[in-house]
Amino acid sequence: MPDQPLFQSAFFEPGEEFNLPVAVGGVSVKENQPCRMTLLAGKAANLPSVGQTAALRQDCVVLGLAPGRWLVVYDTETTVADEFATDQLFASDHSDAWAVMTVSGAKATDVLQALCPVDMHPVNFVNDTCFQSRIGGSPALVFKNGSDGRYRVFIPRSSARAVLEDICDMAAFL
Amino acid sequence: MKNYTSRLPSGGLIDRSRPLSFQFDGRSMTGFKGDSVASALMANGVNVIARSFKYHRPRGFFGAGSEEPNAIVTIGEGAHSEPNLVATQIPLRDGMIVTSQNRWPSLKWDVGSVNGYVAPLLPSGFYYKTFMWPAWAWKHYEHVIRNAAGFGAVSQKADPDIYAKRYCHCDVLVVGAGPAGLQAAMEAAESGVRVVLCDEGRESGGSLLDEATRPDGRAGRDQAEALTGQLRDKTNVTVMLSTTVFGWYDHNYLLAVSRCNGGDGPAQVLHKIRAGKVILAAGAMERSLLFDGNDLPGVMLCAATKRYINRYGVRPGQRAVIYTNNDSGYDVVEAMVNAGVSIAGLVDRRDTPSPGAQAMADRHGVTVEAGSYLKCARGRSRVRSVVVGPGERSVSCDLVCVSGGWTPTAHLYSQRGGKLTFEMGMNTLVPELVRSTDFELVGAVAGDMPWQGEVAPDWEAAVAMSRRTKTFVDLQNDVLVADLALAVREGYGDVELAKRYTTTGMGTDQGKTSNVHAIGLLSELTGRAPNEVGYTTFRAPYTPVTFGAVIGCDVGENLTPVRRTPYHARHVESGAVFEPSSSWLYPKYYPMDGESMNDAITREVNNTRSKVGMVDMSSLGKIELCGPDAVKFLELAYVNKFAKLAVGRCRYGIVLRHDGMVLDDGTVTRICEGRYLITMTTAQSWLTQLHLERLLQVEYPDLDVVMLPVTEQWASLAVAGPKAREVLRKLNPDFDISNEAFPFTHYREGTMAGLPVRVFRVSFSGELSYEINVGANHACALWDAVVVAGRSFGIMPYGLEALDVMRIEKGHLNVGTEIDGLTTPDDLGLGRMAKSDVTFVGKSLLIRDHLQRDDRLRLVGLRPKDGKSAIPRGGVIVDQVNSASPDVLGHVTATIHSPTLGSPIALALLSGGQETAHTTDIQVESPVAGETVAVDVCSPVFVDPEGERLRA
Repeated sequence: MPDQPLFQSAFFEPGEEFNLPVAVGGVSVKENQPCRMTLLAGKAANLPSVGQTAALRQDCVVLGLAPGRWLVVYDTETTVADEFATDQLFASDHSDAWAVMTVSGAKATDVLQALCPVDMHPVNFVNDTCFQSRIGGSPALVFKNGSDGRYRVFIPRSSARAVLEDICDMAAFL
Repeated sequence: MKNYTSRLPSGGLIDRSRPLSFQFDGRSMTGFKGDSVASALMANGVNVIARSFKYHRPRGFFGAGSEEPNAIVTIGEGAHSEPNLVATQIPLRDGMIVTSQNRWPSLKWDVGSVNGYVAPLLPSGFYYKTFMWPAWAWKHYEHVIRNAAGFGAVSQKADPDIYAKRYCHCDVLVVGAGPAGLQAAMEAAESGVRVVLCDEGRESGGSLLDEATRPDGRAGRDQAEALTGQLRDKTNVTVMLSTTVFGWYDHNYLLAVSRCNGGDGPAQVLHKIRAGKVILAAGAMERSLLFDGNDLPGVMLCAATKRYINRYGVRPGQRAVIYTNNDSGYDVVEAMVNAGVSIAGLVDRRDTPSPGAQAMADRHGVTVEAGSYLKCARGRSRVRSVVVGPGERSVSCDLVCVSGGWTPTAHLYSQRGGKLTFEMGMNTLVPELVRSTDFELVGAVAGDMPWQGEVAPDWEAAVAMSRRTKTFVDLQNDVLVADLALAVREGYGDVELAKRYTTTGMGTDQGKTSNVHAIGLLSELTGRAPNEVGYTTFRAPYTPVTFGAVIGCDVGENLTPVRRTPYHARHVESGAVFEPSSSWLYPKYYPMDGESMNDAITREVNNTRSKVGMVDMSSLGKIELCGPDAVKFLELAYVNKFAKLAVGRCRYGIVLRHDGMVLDDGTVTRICEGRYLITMTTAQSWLTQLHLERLLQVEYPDLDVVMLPVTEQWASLAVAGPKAREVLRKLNPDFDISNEAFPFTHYREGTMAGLPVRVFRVSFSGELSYEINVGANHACALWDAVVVAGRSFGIMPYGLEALDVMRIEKGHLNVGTEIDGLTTPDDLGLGRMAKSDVTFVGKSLLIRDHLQRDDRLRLVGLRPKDGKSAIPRGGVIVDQVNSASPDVLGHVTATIHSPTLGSPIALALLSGGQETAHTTDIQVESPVAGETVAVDVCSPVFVDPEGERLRA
């Protein structure tokens, strides 16, 4: 029996030649680990509105996903405590539900834009905001954190490989 | 063969240092980089490019752009072939194979040309009048007619090309990179907004490219290149050439398709464009004039003549007559003179040409015959002469350049709902301009066409001369003026009816050069003003778009994004054969040592029934339901009662649609106080989640409940079989899984193999079973631990097929077979679960009389009477007593050979269910398989009907 649970990437299989990080056609993709997440649902007055984000600490940011729904993202290995849970706000560990990658590089915006129906121009998609949409036909949550041309992309775990392949194919094409 | 056309020794925008080889109908030819297929063919002396749609008349090059109705060819061969491409729009590439269409056995000797000799017998509507009898024979007639009339054939081989789709956003989309479009793009770009400029040509410039020199002395191409270069230098401008915008929809959503230059990338790309504002600068297209024989090879639009000379360096004829009803006919004179084309005359329908036009003619010594017209063009495979009226003066020529005025290219504008109006001064349809912040029309498409001056209509004369002449309105569909006259006589004078009766305006060119003529002629024929005649709807696409481009890469295994379960790596290592299940890639079975599928499935079932098996259940939908009103919501959404469901207990539940039919089934587990976990079937989870969200957000917004989707969070592995308890005990001896501590339909949390887990004692296989949920990132660690723990008990993974076999043996339901959208809980034998005392979604319609009838299809089991015959898949159940006219009593939903029972069994939906069927001798028939099996009706639960195994 394993002493420590082994992290298992959703983007590639163990021992596979294809692996992350990868650089294709001016786009770099790397997997975000550690990254733990909590999904919040319910009522809260002090959490960001839809599409907005709020950095609670250096290693913790809250993304407004939908009315009454947020994703808390921790860049740590720390076990997520239900620190936000109240009698009106319910939490569920989502650390394993999303595969998270950082897409960056000179062509990152072009590549993601080609795959995504939401307007990602810097005027319309400003830093420290997020949106839920689709990338390459799969559900996706895109968080622009820090600067233009750098995105944190959250993909439901089961679709992670499909989206990664879409991004790499489009990067090679563009 | 005489070459009427030839390459000019100099000039044009082609690169003469880069010759390109290509083939046309098996003949090797040479062109240059920069040629279109049409210009290269013309330079090689090709005179006849196609046979016409109906009469198989020889047709030559008429236009030089997307308006071309004749030059429809197939490009490529084999799987790479693409039919119905317009030769004037396709850039020539080295090694290209071009094939003519709609002819047999060859373009020169075409059997179908016999139609031309019996043309008077084949007017519009001929087929539908003649081939009415006998009615059943139409399918045979149609086969022959379709072969004789039509376009190219699509390759029957799989398309090896790659296609892609892209999203695109901009503040301003400029459609058309001609002079007006370039100027509009520049102005928009200078304001700092995001601009996308699209043009169907491979170079920007539009009509600028057709000008040897502009009035300011600069070459047209230089001017276009300079403007385009300035645009490309701007970071806020994207120039997309070889890109046709073919659809304009609500909210400025537009579709465009790009043709790429070959190589390893996509052959075509579909662009889905959202534009803040659209500037339509699509220009205008020249029309023909109506005279007998106006379809002969050698009859060509004036603007096309100019383009072939100035852009491609091709002389389209040697001795020409120009026939015009407006000033733009004079515009080609200079190019023709420079190219060495002898101008035998310029015939102008108008009594007085404009001073500028007259000056142009005078400058080049061209005699203008004002107030004259062409009565006919003569020739067989090329025009040889024309007859000029009034009178009968014959003029020999091999080229007739015609200009009947210009039509704004307003197709896209019309698609988005813009209105067009018939402008009598210009004799054409022009957009009704309205002020809008969403769009703007600039240049010729807005009706700004000063170069044509006054336009004299010729429809009255054409109608007068229509009898016994071949005056074509629509070249692509072989529609004559006489056909329109016939349509009006037969009561089809409405423009929409006339289009359908005669097919004018149909085909790949969608009437680009013919629609205005059809309106004008209908006006003359019906005595109504052109605006009263109206116009037919412009529909997308503006030009033909391949299915490949529309589909993009969404084919085969890329049809939908593939979802992999967290155990995917272990399935691969275990040698699984995969199959798609919804959008999931799921193990079908795990063959060992060359086993067949059936052998593997039988082994997996027997191993699970006798020892222990493990199966990936991760694709089941999972939602956590929280809040003080969670149980109220469950009571509303499910037919079952949940008010007394204790913490740590699970219950099977059914969700109905509002019409009372079963939507989905699954389990509901009370995880802790105020929190429930509900599971849904793989196939219906998305629909069920939407259904529940809708109930919460729309119908019961006052309930204090939230839904937390956790499907992706948890990897689920079911360990099933008589030895399952021993396996779990080895995973964690401290986890009390005794039947007393952890009975059926109970739930526990704890650790297994050092991993935090949720364990549910539920069973789909009918065996003692534990479903272990672990965080998806640790799924493989759990799998490995279960394999190690179960090795001594003979554990094996089993796939979807074995799972299906075991659920059929147990009589469990499956979405798509038993839960087919037409069954109620009663039909499925679950009616007793439904609450009778309180309401739930679907109840009010569930209790309607129709759903209470005794003869409804109800779930039953079937066994073959002989105990060995396989019950045909998809078979219908019939009453065998009345074999002459059997009553269909139901149908088989699932059929297997049961490894556990050693005999075939099936589940079925049977009218009246077990109660009434017992009195009847019935059989299952499959007309498809040609099999009939007599069956007995029995309980749908074949294995362990008392549930002793799963409760063990």
